[in-house]
Amino acid sequence: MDSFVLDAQNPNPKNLKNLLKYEEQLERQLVSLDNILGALDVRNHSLGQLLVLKAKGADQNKNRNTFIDQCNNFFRNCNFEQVRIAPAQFSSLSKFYTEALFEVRQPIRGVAILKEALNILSDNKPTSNLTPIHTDFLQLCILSKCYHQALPLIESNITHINPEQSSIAIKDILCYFYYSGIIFTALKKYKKAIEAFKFVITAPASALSAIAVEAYKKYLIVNLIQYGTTQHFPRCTPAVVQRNIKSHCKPYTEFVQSFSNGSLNDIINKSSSGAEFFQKDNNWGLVKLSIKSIHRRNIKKLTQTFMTLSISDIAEKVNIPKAKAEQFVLKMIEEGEIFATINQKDGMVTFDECFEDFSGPAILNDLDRNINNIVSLESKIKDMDEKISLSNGYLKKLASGKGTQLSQYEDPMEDIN
Amino acid sequence: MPFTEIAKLIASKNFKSILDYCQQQEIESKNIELIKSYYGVYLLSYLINNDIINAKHLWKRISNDLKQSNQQLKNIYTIIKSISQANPTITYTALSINLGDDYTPFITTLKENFQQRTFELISNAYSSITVSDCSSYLGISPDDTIQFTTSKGWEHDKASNTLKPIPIHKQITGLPTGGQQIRSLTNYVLFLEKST
Amino acid sequence: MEDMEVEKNSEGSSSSNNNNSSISNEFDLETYINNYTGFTKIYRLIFIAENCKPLEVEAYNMALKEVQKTPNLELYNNIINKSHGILEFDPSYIENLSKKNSLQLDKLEQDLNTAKSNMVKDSIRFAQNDLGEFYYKLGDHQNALKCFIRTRDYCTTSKHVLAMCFNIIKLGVDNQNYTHAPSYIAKAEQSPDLDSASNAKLRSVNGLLNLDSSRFKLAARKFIETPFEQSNVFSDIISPQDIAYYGGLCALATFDRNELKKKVIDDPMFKNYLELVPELRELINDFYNTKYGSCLKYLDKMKPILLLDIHLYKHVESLYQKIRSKALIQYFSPYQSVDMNIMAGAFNTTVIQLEREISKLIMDGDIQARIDSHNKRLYARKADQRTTTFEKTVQVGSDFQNSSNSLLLRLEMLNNNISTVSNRKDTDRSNWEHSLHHPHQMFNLFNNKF
Repeated sequence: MDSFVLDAQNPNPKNLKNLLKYEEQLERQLVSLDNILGALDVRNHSLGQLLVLKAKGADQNKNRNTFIDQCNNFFRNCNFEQVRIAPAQFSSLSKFYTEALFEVRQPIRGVAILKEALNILSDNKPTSNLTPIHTDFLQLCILSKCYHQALPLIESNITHINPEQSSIAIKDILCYFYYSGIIFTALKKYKKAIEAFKFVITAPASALSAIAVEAYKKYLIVNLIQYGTTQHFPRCTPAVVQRNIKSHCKPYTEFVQSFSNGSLNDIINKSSSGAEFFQKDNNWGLVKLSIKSIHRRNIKKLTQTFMTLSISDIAEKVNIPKAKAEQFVLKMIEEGEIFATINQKDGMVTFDECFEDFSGPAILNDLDRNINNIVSLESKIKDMDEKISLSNGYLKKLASGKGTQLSQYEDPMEDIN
Repeated sequence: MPFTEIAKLIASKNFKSILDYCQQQEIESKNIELIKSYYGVYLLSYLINNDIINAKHLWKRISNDLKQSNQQLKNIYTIIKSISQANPTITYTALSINLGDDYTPFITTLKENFQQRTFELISNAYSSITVSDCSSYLGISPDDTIQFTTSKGWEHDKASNTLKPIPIHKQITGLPTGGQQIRSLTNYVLFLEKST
Repeated sequence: MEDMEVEKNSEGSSSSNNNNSSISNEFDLETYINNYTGFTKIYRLIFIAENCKPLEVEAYNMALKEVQKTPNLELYNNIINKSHGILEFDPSYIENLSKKNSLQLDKLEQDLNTAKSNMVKDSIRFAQNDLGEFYYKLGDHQNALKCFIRTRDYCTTSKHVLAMCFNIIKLGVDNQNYTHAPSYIAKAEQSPDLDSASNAKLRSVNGLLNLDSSRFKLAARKFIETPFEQSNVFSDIISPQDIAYYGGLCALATFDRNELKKKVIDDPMFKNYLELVPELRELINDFYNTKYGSCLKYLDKMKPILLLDIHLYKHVESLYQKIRSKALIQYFSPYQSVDMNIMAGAFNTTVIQLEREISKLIMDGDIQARIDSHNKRLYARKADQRTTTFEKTVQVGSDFQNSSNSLLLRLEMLNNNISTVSNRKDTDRSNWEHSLHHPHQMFNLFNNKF
């Protein structure tokens, strides 16, 4: 092992790559790993430390608390340039670290560390390049219930991946969006959650993954919470997903079905007949929320149907106790879901249909933000277009002269279908 | 005196920054005891910012031992729960309990905020409201309620003992300056020119 | 949504019960039933006997008389069993008939065998057909169907094919089981030998088929197209009065004003049908002339009779519902606002009932209006173009951003050859479940602790 230490201490960056050949050897030297680690300096010999820690991470019998402390020190002080030589090893270390934190039930200790580490494989652009560390970070946020820490990241629209630079694989990507969906759901940002889950099921696939199945279950229920119904498969859903996914979520599709044509009682019956599944999947809470949302939506429908309606009529029509009806309406006014005024003297509620008059600075700012988003999106699309038109595959097709086959590259949707 | 780290922020009533500080400490500080002592103000800062969802998530992050042993946290939880269940009577009762001098600035501000928010809500949501309901929403006695609301221009109908609120229009804030507007319009035009 | 649904018009069903006693005055069973021949006559009688107490005795007796004209013992037993004591078994009749039937069956089977051994196509078809016909009369529809289908191989002319088709179609109508009918109707329609009687028959059967599956608009068209002159030649299936009822009501429920005027009221052929049922003609005219109150009165009066119709009874509620909704929609269409008290008067209903009906129509998007429940007025909804445009624009904008972003990422994945592939050795599933075990637990937080 001395040769490893010597090589690791070699300041010549060209030789650093040679270190990777020691990987297997290190994994057979579990006892001496801590000593080797001590011989290396975290800043100057980062790659060496990375390999040692990664080997240690694979050891099921390691002292987890020591390992976490060693990792903390490493993540905080390592030299990014050196680490970038071995992205796969770095990603593995991040996974071992996340796992260890879970095992000692202290996931929150890793949140700040991994938040910083997002920069390492993403070229210091964590909000535009997705890396495996992103996924681990979200997992820690969920485990520690620190959803707010992940929000700024998942609200940025990530459109780039670079497997060579970050060693990212399909599972990392799917999990990243699955976790994003969970976090959005926990923060009640249901529309965003739907988009995230939707990405998981529309991701390119020639086989069905368990992640897609879990995402689809949540996608169905969150759609019910938000819209009271569910959308068809998005156009670009891979055929294999469309064909097979439903058979894995039967209680869910039945429950969704009951929403479209069943009475409240039907819906509740369906939810309790599937309760075992929902509980097993930890979706029971969401199912209950979706049932709760029915009243809210029904009241909203009333605002489109009535200009005035008595409190007792509201209670009767939406099937809630009269004493609760006023509170319900008040809550919805507070949350800006409906615009109404309650008249306690007459016991009437006056509904105003369009409360959003789409004027004023808030809307102006919103529009401005959206336009700017689209402008920047346009440049991303241009970049992508350029990349494709310069790609080998495209040029080969072009050279072979079969103009008709080009359509495959001109229409990206086709590739996906 | 605890909370020395944020004494300045408390003095200037900068609860947004207190929240930022707490969020940062929670994930970065190695001093577990320090974090524990901050949970109370952390929760209250969320409430002052009217962020019930995150307050609830934070509550879940606190260990059960601490929740059970700490009377102040228990009281704060009563506030969270009553706000989210829209039960103002309980909220005001819980807010009137003295949690100690360190918490006083938080409780006072929260009470003011909550009162103001509720007042704005009922101003817009009711075209008439009974004096007794209004007084429980505002957490003041019926007589004070009549006095306070009529001073805001509401009418008091003695026959039915109801009040007639006057809607409050949201204050327009964040109006972009002319310069900003011109700049963004220019950008739009540039973008459109470029793509044609 | 269902919780808000308007309750089924309870008045309707109760009134039908009340009218049951007076039905014998308005409804002349004998005249009605003499429009039919064959088994449909018996089936209709049984249906009426089962569903209308005052007519029970009369209907069972008639049914018995009719069934004794046929060799069908099963139906005979059936009727007597159902009549719970009104009718009695005649053992000698049963004995004689069953002997006679088995002799006849033997004879027909023998005929068929002889024909088969002679290998003359036409006589095989004949024998097969006779056997089928006999099975049909015995009430053994399964064997009848088999025989009829077998004749197919021995059909030499298109007339034969047509006959085969009608046999099979009739079986379907009798059983109200239309699984085979559509293909044979289509086959018959292509026949070059289609005379106008067969054509009429096909149209009306096609109408029944569509009525059965609640495709009312198509049913209306088929009934209306049935030539009148030929309408009484298939009394073993349907009567001209039936065509008037079925066609008229389906049209009322589904046609728009223009169609109603052109294809029903002014149609020279369908006029003839309407003449057979003057109340129906009146109520359709009332509907067209916006005299909804009178129209609905006619409908209410007619309802108990319609409920005794073997094909129509199960659609009466939904047809009536549709007609009523259409009336409500048309009534309001020219107004900016309407006093619901007056409207309720026009529809013979209470304001409360009317409010329920209209709110359902608004929620289903059939009426563009909002109800002022306090002052009991209905106001037309002014579409706010600016708001709708704004909402749409914002929606399109965010949809575009979402879809473009995910599209870009998907493309990036494809460019890098990253996608879910099946991998038996190291399945995604096992890996994934392992690493994802924990985060799932977070959702306990939604379990209503607050």
